[in-house]
Amino acid sequence: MYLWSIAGGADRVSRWASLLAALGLVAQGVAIALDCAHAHRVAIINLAESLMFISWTLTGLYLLMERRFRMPALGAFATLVSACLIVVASSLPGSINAALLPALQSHWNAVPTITCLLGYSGFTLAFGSAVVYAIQARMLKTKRINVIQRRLPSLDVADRFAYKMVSIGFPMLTLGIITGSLWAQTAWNSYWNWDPKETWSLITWLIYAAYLHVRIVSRRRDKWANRLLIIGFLCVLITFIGVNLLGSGLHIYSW
Amino acid sequence: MHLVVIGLNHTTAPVELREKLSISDGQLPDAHRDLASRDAVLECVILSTCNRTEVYAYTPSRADDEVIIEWMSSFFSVPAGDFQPFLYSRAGHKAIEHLFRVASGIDSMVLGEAQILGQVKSAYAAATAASSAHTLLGGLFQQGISVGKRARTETEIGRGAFSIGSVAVGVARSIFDELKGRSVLLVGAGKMGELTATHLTASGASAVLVANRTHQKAIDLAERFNGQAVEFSQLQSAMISADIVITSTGAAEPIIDREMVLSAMKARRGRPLFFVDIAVPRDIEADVDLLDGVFVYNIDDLQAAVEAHAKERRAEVQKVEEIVRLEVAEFMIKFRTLDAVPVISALREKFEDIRQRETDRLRDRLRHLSREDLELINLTTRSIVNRICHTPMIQIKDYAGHDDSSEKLDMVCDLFGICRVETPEENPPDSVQASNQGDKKPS
Repeated sequence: MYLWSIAGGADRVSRWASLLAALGLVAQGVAIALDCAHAHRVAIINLAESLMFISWTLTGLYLLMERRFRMPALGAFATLVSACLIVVASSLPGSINAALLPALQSHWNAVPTITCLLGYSGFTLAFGSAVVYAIQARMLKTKRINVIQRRLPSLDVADRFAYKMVSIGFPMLTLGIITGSLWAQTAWNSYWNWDPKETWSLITWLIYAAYLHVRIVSRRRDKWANRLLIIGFLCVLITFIGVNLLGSGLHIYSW
Repeated sequence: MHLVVIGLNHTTAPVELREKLSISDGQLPDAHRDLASRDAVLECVILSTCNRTEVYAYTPSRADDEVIIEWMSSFFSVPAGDFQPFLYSRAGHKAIEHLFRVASGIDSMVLGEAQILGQVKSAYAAATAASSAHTLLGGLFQQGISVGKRARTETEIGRGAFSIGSVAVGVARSIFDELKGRSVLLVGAGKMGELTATHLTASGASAVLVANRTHQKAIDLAERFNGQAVEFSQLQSAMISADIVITSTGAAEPIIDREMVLSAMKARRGRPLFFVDIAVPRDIEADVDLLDGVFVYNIDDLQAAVEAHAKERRAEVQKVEEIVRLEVAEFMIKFRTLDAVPVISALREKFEDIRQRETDRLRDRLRHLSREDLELINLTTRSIVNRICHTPMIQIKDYAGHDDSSEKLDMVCDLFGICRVETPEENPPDSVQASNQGDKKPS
């Protein structure tokens, strides 16, 4: 795991870093697969497993995009977040063998989860990109033209990358919400229950829809588009973790 | 053997002298041929730029430095006394280090500039064309070129902007990434503005729009850029399509104000707009910079960035010196073994010669011996020679790895009456060896 952070820190030797990240990706993929095999189910039920999965897809997504965008600064972000997630996940109680709640005893349960988590990975990267954009814009504004500034991706790339990430994440979240409600119908006999998790995922969806609207329909690329990315990510955090911490609603088994 | 660089540069010689002693690219191969035709010059490479003229040479001894100075004097038709006080001369590992520093750009007037590496390459190419660089200087220059590349990839010595124009390009890249497809609006026909626009188009920016109060000037300038002239009154609409605006008018008052930019930005839908204001007094009102998505760089900002970059590069010199140090050490190993090779082979040759003569003489005297016995004598003498040679050979190779190798190798040569230079006329005549052989044999 520490290899991941090294990969993240060293943007100078970015080729090695991405190789290392790719190796980490494969290793983690194997680990997740083993988990699944061990537990005889799709291992993304509890928080630790979800974090693992996000961490995995985060690096995967970044590496997929790396060839097109070449932004090592974001690679550092992706791998660092990824590494942190692994650390957090491994410190959480791993209840792999815990008996599943009846509601979860179906492989179909995994579909909304996986799609939502994929969406969150995309949004996380979009958020990273938005932060990088904000820093770069700030440095350009204040005329700090130095080594760090030169290593950060250009505004144009950061903007396009974020857009790309949202355009991957958004359909995933949409799919997640739809399949989620279909599944809710079979599990709880109701498509939509307005429980906090559902509500917040809807809010998240709306924010990113707004972002896409700003980008596609009004073709704007400015501070507001960027702010929406940051707000959107806060909603992701609330949906994903905050709701569980508040401890109410139907989705609360997810610990 | 003697590896030396003799030359002058911007720190040692005034520009008038450097001009007199410079060689154009066209003359370079001839200059190499001319210098290499001197008997004492075994190999040579001549590096000539506007800031330096240097002769790298491989000669039999230090005394041959005079030959190089004499050649310079005759080639440039300048009396030696006129330039000799400005010359520096570095030998052995200092010469190697010098080339590596030069190739890395840390010996340049503008620290880390990239041109010098190209000039080192063309010097080497000219020497190869004139076949004046062989094993030693060929190897030295190849490594020098790779050191230059290494310094630039492994450190920041060659990074950053060297001029206002390149700062503008750097900032533009940080905003727009690729400049391909981006358009430049040049306002005013100032020289500096034109230069900056040239920088930008050379870096990929495609379209150029030119606006000037005197429209004819705008048309002329636009022609030079293959661009388009726009009416001065159309500035605002031009700002909608352009991504980079360079202003360099002589106007006393700012010509672009907040309102103009604000409405242009609305039409641009937030796409960033980059202003390069080279005019003094400024052409763009100060509060334009406060607008969102607008980046205004005036001459002071650009100048400050050039300074900052130069400072960053200065901080990298240490790292480059370290690379140079390592590379010199690496080359020295090759260089020194190269130095020892002729000594070892000369020594072997000499011993074998002695052995051959003595066994021949013995064969004449001991005719009664059988063929087998004679063969045995042959084998035994050979083994004696090999055993005697063994330790000295190892020692000589070992000398090659140390700083005082030259003196030690000289001593070895002295001791055994061999000469280290393989030039034909200096090969030791057989008679000399023959007179020595009696003394050496008993050892």
